[in-house]
Amino acid sequence: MSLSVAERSYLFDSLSSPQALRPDGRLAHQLRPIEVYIDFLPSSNGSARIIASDGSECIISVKSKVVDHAVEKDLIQVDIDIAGERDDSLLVESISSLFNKIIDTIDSSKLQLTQKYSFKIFIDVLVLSSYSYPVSLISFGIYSALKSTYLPKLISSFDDLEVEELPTFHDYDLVKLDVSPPLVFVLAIIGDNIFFDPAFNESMVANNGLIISWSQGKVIAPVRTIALNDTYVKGFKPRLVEDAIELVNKYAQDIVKTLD
Amino acid sequence: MNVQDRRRILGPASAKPLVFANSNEKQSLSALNNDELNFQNGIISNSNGSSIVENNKMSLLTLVYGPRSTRDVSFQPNCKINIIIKSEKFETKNLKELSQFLISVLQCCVCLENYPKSGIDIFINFNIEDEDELVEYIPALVSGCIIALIDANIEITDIIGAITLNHTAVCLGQNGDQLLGLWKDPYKFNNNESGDYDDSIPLSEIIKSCQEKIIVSKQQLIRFISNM
Amino acid sequence: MSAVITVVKKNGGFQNANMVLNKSIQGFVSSDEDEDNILDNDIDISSSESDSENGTSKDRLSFQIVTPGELITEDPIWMRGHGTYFLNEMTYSSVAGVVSRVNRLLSVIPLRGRYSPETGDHVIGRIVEVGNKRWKVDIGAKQYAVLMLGSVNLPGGILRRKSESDELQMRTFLKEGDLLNAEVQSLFQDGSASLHTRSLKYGKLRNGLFIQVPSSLIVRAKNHTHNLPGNITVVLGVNGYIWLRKTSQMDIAKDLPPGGSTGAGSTIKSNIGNQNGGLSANSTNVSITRLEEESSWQIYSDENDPDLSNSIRITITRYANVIKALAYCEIGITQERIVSAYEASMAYPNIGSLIEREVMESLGADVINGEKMRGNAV
Repeated sequence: MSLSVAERSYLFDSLSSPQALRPDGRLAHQLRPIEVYIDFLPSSNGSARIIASDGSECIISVKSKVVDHAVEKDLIQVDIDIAGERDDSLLVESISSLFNKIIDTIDSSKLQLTQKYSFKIFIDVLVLSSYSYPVSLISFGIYSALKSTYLPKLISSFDDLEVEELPTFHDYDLVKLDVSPPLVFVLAIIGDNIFFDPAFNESMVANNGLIISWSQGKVIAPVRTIALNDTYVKGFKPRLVEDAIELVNKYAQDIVKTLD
Repeated sequence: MNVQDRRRILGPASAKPLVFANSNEKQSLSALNNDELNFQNGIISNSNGSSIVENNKMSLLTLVYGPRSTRDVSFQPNCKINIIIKSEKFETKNLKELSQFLISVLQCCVCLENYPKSGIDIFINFNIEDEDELVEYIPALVSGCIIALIDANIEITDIIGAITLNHTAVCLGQNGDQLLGLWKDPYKFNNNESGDYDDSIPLSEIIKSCQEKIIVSKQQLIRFISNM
Repeated sequence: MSAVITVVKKNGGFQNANMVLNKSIQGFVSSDEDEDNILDNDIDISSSESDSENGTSKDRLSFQIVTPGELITEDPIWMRGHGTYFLNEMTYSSVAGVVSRVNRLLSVIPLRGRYSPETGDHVIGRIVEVGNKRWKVDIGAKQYAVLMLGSVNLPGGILRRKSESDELQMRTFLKEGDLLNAEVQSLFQDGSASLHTRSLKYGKLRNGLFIQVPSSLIVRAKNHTHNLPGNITVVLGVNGYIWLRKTSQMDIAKDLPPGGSTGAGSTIKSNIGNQNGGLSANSTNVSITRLEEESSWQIYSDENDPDLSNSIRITITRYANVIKALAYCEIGITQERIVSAYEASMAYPNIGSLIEREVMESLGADVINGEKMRGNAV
């Protein structure tokens, strides 16, 4: 769907003016409300269903498997599927590449079971519908899903290098997975203004977009720019990157608190 | 004795075997400075524009096809850019993410509105000797695309300068006043070849030093383009 | 709770979703007194007359929500309308909705679903395709509607014949993505609509913001363009597409009472819907030349007025959020309700807070309570 010229110029003028006004009246750093349902898949170790107020929806399942960590290097793997997009489309592949890089920053030592074996975590993401660039929604979903993940409790000994044995688990006791997954924020740059969580109509007039990852109190890599449309894209003042990072640092803690 | 083999087409009686000149390409490559990029354009006549960017570490062939009609049935007021990067050393999905980034950057400088209902397809083949982080190749990729686009006579508003510093690629326009693209990946510590990474430098510092260096690093590219 | 984001978090999605659903149904039933009145006015207009004839079936048939496959009546006397089917002399519902009876015609009006156009509807649409002498328009219905080149006003007067050059420059009038308001002129056999914009109250939309609500919330009325306090005009498309804009000269002229001080108002009123309507006239002069001015190239302009002030934009945003809140609460959207919700929303100085669920719910409750207090004024 495309917007009309008059609509776009109305939106752009409102958003790029010094007294920036968003089409839904939000503050520049305000995100749209979301609904999160956690642990809704009985056969997964952890799951989350996240619904944004514009109807974007995404479900995430976390499953685990015991692997020899000498053989398997990547202990967390993300697989992303977006309804209506081919698996090999630019959008799906680049989001999945981005998330695998982000997930790599998680400290995987928490997944180690014994000296030989570790849990491998599979995160399956299905975006059911999305109206704007979905990485923020996916990352909030992965965050909630991993925070609600419970893994079987190990009862065999940790040291299994000398005695060859497979790890055995408690029949019903589960241990909460203790990781702090990074969050990803999408920011739109319109004129000299920065906006969190651009809605569809805001993305359509954005001059540029920034993807910023955040974990444990600070902005981390990956950070990158992204074009959110193909008509208004242009360069922006380099100092806006600094401002954007500052904004993320300022408000991300609040968002994490609300998500927990 | 004088029986000719009629089933074969023989060359003229005076035919001589082909002798190839000794290739000295290897030498020229190693003679290049590590950072220095070498450009060439207009190599592939079947494409609308092409370029080769190489140094001793890699060789990059960029082909531009278009602007040409798209298969899209609906009306498109703007040109669509599509980039396909091919390399054996990297995973496809990482290359696709990079191509999406390059599209974003090029959208800032190509006059898309001049080519309605059409598309520009860019194919990049890139050969590297040793595997490095993708981010290190972004300056070469951007230069390759710019030369190939100019070679294809596609209108662009600016020559993008790209620098990779401290594992962060920065693409700048208008001689450094405008930031067009920024790419920073998590740094893998197991890859110790380029040990000049310093996590403590804030992004804004990196961008500032890139802004200072941009004019110098663009000069070679501009010199080449003006002699094209 | 932080001002940055609100998160509603629940354990176990599907089980909970059921609970939420149950709760909302209970909520619906318990607030039945007020809901009933709305239904009474909005949908089941005829029920009060026919109740007297068929008093016995009243309980079964009025305000009843039926689901597909549910038996509505065993009485073969009823004619079967939309949303019903007939099996073994019995009438069943084929959609989930409210039973409606007009004389002997029995139909079920679906609670949700796409907009189904009817002749005379005032709709807002978005151009999706420019074709041979016609535009395809998305009006949120099953099929795209058609707007023929012959059904629009062209620059330089209405009564001009369409020439070949007009055909070649159709995209300069309306192009893909453009929003327009129009009237459904007729329906084709397959249920798709043919539109026209042959009145100055229809045409391209500028100076404002587009929002979308479920079409079932917009009640068909005589007038769908309303001037709201704060110098804002809202166009409530029957298809649920809504346009909020700064009030123009034309909007003011249209709103004059019939038989106004200069007598111009009555001329205007009588001309509404008429091709030659001098709608652009302001209260002091009505002239045919004004019409020509209006129907020059300007009617297809993409430029917004340069004097769209920030305060106008803020008011538009507030109205947009208020309408979204009404839609969230599933309250039928009328001018009166928009205004009363707008006034209620003034309690929240930060417009951005109007997107939060609790705020939207309290706004909806305010509107319903206000109507109850005034003895259901709508």
